[in-house]
Amino acid sequence: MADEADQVPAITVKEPLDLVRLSLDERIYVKMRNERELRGRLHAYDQHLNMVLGEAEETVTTVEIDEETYEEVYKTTKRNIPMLFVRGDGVILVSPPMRAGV
Amino acid sequence: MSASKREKFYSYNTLVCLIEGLEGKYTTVDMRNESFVYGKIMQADGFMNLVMSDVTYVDGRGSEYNFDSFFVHARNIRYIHIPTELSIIQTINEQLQKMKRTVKPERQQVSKKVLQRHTETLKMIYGDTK
Repeated sequence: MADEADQVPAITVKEPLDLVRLSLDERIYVKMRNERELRGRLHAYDQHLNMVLGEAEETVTTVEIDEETYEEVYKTTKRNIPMLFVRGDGVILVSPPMRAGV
Repeated sequence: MSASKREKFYSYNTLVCLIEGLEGKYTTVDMRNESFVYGKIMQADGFMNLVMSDVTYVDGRGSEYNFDSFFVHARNIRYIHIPTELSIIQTINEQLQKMKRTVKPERQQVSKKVLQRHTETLKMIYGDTK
């Protein structure tokens, strides 16, 4: 019986949020509503996906129409926030950062 | 004034307790309509509604307005900037200590009188079978 207990991994994945737990203290990518993206170190989260991100970088993408060519121009603005609390209702997805994007 | 059970549950079980620990601190709150407020958090409840004071409100176009007192409904919050000097885990622990529930007095025993009346009523209904 003791052997069985020893073989249980430290973190078991039973529900989706356990996957988020695997990312604790790692840099993560968060897609937010309104074309916003965050990259930062995940310090804490809860069941609403409220999160505390350290060294967060927010990227906001806006679309503007070029007045002459009428082409859609995507503009991104970035800003850094040392410690950020994110309210969960704006979160779309949480993922490890994409290799190229970090 | 007492918080509902649901509100208390949120305070105990979610990161809202961290926000409650920010009471008395100056910070920036980004709102969903592209505006933000900078000011002192006076009070935060279990739903993350905020009462702030000494506030500068900057709307989406960049115009600034000053308010002595300001209420932010939770659903309008996008981000809350946390002061860097703050230790998160310490703040949460302190907050949980503050909320520590007071032990309720034990439930009163049913008094003999009530029990007697109860048996009498049962007898009345079902007759004295025993």
